[in-house]
Amino acid sequence: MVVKKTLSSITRGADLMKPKPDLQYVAAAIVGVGVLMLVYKGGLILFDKFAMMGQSHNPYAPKPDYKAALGII
Amino acid sequence: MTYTADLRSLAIRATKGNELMDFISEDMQKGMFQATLAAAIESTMTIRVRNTICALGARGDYIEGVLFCSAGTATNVPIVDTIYMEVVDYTGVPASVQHTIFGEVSPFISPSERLEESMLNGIDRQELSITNSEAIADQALCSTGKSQYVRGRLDSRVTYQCNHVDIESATEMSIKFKPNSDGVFLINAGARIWAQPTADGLG
Repeated sequence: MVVKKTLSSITRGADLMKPKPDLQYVAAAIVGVGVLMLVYKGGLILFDKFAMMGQSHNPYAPKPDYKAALGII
Repeated sequence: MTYTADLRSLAIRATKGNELMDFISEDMQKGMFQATLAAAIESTMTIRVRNTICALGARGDYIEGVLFCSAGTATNVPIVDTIYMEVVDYTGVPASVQHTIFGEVSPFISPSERLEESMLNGIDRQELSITNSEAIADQALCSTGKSQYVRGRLDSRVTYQCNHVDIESATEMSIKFKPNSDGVFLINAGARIWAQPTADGLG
């Protein structure tokens, strides 16, 4: 009872134990998925940023053989 | 016509764009070269360049094949077909590529800049075999660069001239390769080179 009452107070009257198709639920789901996708994309961007950090100063980092590409002996 | 002048050696010289420095990468004595190119280059007598050297157009550098010689007589003017060089002509080269990649084979200090692979797109490369095919008509014009033929067309990037107007004082004749700002002239190690060994190219 306590749990049900708490949930009811949080969801402002929606009965989560007996969910019914409602525009509010659909809208909440769309917004929720959107937020998750944004967080995921942001994570990828941050990962790329930090993974590349310092690469230009790393003498052991693999890089193309520009001289061979230009035909310089 | 008698020749009073004599070829001493053929040098490859690079000059930095600000003219404050030059560098001779190698110097070949006249006795090394076959007598004439009339029957084309004979493979057993081919002289090849040992060191790769280049001129960066972004900095205004140029490279020259220099015929060091003793001075001529008053009636002499430089004649054609006295020097043959193989060079590589690059065009459309971004300045950062010139400094970073070609700078490694330039004798002058060059900055190393950040590169992307896409910067190599659009660079044109062609290998050229060049002789001084265009005569300097008049002794009074000997110290003015005369454009030479490159692939059938006169090219102002390749000129031939003496170091003095009066031929009695001239001790150097040079074929000069000066690239445009987006170009690089490169002499690869192994390129063939030839100079008229019997006289200094004065006639």
